[in-house]
Amino acid sequence: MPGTLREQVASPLAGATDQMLADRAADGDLRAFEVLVRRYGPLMRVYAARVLGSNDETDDVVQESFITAWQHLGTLDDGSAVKSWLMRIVSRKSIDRLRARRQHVNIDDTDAPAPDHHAPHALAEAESQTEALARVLAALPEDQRRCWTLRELAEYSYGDIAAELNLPLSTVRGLLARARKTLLREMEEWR
Amino acid sequence: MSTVLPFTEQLDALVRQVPGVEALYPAGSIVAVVLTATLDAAAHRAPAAPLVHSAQQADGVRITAKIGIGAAESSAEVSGRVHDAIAEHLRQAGDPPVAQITVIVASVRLSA
Amino acid sequence: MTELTPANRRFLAFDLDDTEREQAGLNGHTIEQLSDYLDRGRSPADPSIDDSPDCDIALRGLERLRRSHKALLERDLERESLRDDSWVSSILKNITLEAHAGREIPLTHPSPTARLVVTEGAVRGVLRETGDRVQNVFVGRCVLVGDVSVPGTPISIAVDVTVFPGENIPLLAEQLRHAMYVALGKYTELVVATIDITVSDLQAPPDASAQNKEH
Repeated sequence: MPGTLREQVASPLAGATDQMLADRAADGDLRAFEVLVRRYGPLMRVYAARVLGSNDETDDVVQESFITAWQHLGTLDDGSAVKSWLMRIVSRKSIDRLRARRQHVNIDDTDAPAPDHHAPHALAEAESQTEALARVLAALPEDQRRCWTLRELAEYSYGDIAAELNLPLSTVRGLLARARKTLLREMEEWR
Repeated sequence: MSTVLPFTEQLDALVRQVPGVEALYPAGSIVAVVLTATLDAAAHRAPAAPLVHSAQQADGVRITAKIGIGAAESSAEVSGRVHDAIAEHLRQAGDPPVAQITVIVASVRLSA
Repeated sequence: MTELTPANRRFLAFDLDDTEREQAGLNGHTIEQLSDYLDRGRSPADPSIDDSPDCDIALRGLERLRRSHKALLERDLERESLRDDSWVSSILKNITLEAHAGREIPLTHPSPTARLVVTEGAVRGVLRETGDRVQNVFVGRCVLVGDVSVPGTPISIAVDVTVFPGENIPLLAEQLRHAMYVALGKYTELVVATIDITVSDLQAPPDASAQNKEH
């Protein structure tokens, strides 16, 4: 295959705007696409890992997302919106993955409790606020975590979350409120 | 439907050796290519199917090669040379009736 | 007003399940309303929130949560950027040129059984790379307008370019147009009637700090 794929991007493209990169990638420019992969891949990976609650499938989901993006870039009207467009794709892929997983295991783990309710106070001294938040986020019930992540990482509106997860708006509001309160309360515990 | 013909095994290597050819891409149908690529990716192995596509049809042999070329020569020169190399190869391999030899220039790499 | 309450006073004035208790502890508001208030940048100011010590504590908690969340995201992104490059190459390995090949543009050959073509995608690539070789120009979208599949049919080409401030635009456009004609002549047999160059955007020279997370 062409050697261009393995080359580091040292071109001025690395500093180009999203619009320019998306336009060029839509025309089939692999180098422009590679810059987009490097620019937003890390955020997409973090996002997928949060939604999926594990790192095992993150690589696959992000890879699938970029392959889909490459194939459909021509349908993106506004290249400057490529970031949210990519986040939407990775959200969808992550959610599909969760659904498939659930069908596979055939158990409803939506309300799985946090793994053996660890004593926050004891742990607090050993870990930073950041680490603590990571742990509480991971321990949120799946539906709450999904809403929270769509809202805070993918910057979805409430309406978009409802549409994406096929839930009533009121349910989304409730889940987000609950997630926020849980996080808030747990954070207070560690102060 | 295509069948793998005996003389097609060497076509990948043959095309790669043509001066001016810098890359060789899978030339099968898109579905077949994507499917193969996906399966190969899943199995972490190199693509198994030949990249140059050949099919025996009622009107003769159909060959398709999809290439990337360098900057030095024109698309017409390099693709013509690829065509001629394949045609010559077929002549030497029993001279079957040829329906069409397609050469697709899918990329031109201007920078060294 | 932030000093109305001691900064270290703990905030536990709500119940996960009981909205009434939550409102009772927050001067009639809910955590969700306070969060929305923060989203709006505390504007327009709402005295029933701003003047309530309980709300103040809750707002500080919410802000702390946001800061922690931001720090967590930065930490995670940092970790991701330290990973080796294999994930990028495995993505690029699995995409094909197919998706953007476009139409097939014929090339002549004396043999009746020969069908030689160059793809529209390859031609767009030639136009892009040609543009990139002209200093201070970025080529964006390139469109081949007309029936490229019929040899000899005159077509036109539309190109979006970005030129950095201070450049002589007519001169650059002419340079670019000339280079593109030469390249098209070499790699295609298209009859190109016009190359329309649109200077679509002026931007400052790329500032890598603006958006890039990569190193």
